[in-house]
Amino acid sequence: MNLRLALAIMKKDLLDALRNARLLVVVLLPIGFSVLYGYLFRDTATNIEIVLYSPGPSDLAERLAGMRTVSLFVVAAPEQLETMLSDEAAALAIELPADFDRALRDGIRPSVELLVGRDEQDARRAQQLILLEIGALSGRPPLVDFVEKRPSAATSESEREAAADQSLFEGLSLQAYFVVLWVMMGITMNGTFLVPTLLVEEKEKRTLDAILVAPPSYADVVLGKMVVGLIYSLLSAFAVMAVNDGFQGDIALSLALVVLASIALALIGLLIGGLIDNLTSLNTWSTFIMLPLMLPGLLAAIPLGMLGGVLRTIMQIVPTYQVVQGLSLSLSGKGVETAGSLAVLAFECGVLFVLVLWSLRRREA
Amino acid sequence: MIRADSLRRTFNHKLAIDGITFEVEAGEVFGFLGPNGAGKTTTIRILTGQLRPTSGSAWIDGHDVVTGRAKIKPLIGVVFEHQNLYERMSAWENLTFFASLYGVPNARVHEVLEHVDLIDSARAKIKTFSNGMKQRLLVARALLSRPKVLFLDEPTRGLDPASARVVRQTIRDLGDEGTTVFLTTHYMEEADQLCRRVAFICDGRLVALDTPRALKLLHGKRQLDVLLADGKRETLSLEDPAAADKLAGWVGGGQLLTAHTQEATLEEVFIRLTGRGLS
Repeated sequence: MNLRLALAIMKKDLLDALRNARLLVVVLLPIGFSVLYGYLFRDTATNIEIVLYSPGPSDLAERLAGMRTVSLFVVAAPEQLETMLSDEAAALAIELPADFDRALRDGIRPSVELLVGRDEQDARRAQQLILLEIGALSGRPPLVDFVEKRPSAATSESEREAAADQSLFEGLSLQAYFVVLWVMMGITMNGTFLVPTLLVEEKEKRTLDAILVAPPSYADVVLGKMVVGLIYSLLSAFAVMAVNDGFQGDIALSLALVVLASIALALIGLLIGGLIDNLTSLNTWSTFIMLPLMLPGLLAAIPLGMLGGVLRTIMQIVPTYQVVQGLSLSLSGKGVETAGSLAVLAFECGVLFVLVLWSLRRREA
Repeated sequence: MIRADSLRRTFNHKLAIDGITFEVEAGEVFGFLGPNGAGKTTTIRILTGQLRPTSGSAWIDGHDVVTGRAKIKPLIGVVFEHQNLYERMSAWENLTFFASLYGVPNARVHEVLEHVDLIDSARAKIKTFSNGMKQRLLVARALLSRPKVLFLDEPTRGLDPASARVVRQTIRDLGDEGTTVFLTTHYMEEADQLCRRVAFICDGRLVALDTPRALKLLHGKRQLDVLLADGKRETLSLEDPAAADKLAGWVGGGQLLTAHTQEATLEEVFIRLTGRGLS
């Protein structure tokens, strides 16, 4: 494999795809949908409930109450914080120490207790807002120690079963839910329409023959086109995440998931392209292939416990399920739990690369 | 420079080429002639590493075309039968892309575009090009890397006379410069003009291989057709010793108006050898 040759192919395809109106639509469609949905659901998605206990008066409570995107509940006793969280009336509970405001003014680092609710993503956003307001109050970078506590964990058998029956989207805000769906849709559309078109057009017009009698090998062609799919999928995912406030939770893990899923879907696209020889057939097959690929991602909303064993296993093999699962977890701040999705996607990328090379080399035989 | 030994290729049990053996010397312009479906393109695809032979072997400059494919790539240029260009890109963009694959500078792109008389259309999109312009661009693309061996698959098919002339002149120039040229065509006159040697292929088999002159002499009639002043036509056999005296008498007596040798054309030789035409 020669990186210089793969990059030359990538550069050519990036420009050529921009001149192909059909491919541009594929790239822009998920972004357009995400902008539309982001706009339509902006208000409901950004409202965060915070419950606060303060032994004495605090300017922080006033500042938080004055924010348009925050619904603040002030309780009279610290015991009420946990009750409100377990009732899901708030995403985050905060317990201020006595003389919190004075401590801030005097530069003494006060200790603030936080209780994180079920919607971890909203809780983290609430924490960021509180930090900003504390900084505004003290007129300097916020000097506080957050002591994080979890509400009493569910331990009974019935609660454990209920947790297993939860959908991946439980605990995700509507906005985060849309981020996950549009990112998955963008990656899948790029993989099943854009990437195979790049290859099948080369086969149909025989330009691939011209490339292959020149120095590039099949591996260079696959790598170059895979990177084109990756770049357009990343652009699509970044735009969706930027529009919908999706850079939250474990951002690095979210990006790693998007990169691996984009590569896997681009390779699936190249496999399709390797097996199909003309654009007319591709248009038909892409639609048939895209739907079952997207389905596991969409079905991720259904709790796994409700699905049969075989169906569950099949769903978990499909990269879209893994990216939806992984992104849902990483956006909720449960990044550690995405390791499985990352491993499955990385393995699938390796297997798919070999399969794509095989499908192309058949042409010589 | 090119060597094929018992090349055989089948597609779904149908024989495309059947035990072809030949050699092309360095710097030779070699014609590979036959009707459509005879196996010309299959042979080129095997020699350029695009297709594996079912059996037999072939070498370019000593490198096996199957096992040494990476080594033959920098040595060869190919003008395909199909006009396989990027239609949404300009001529310049098409060639700079391939220049980047071969690692040659853009100055060479300018040079080859000038060579095929397309420099003024360099920035125009390919979809606006005529057939002839596209064909000349294909030749330019094949020449980018200054290949030692150039394969041309029906390079003048369907071209206007001006474009065909440019392509033929380019082939002549390359031959003069020492490039080995492997030319498939079913235009016999073209092969006669350009090639040092030609091979006839029919139904996947090589039926003849020699210089055009030798083939024509071997399979043609050695006769002279003369037209005399009194309107009479006579045919003299060049193998008959008495023919010289007859001819001298007509010339001396001022009776001879025209005299034409009846050397066969390559097409007639092909028909004689295969029992079928070229189209």
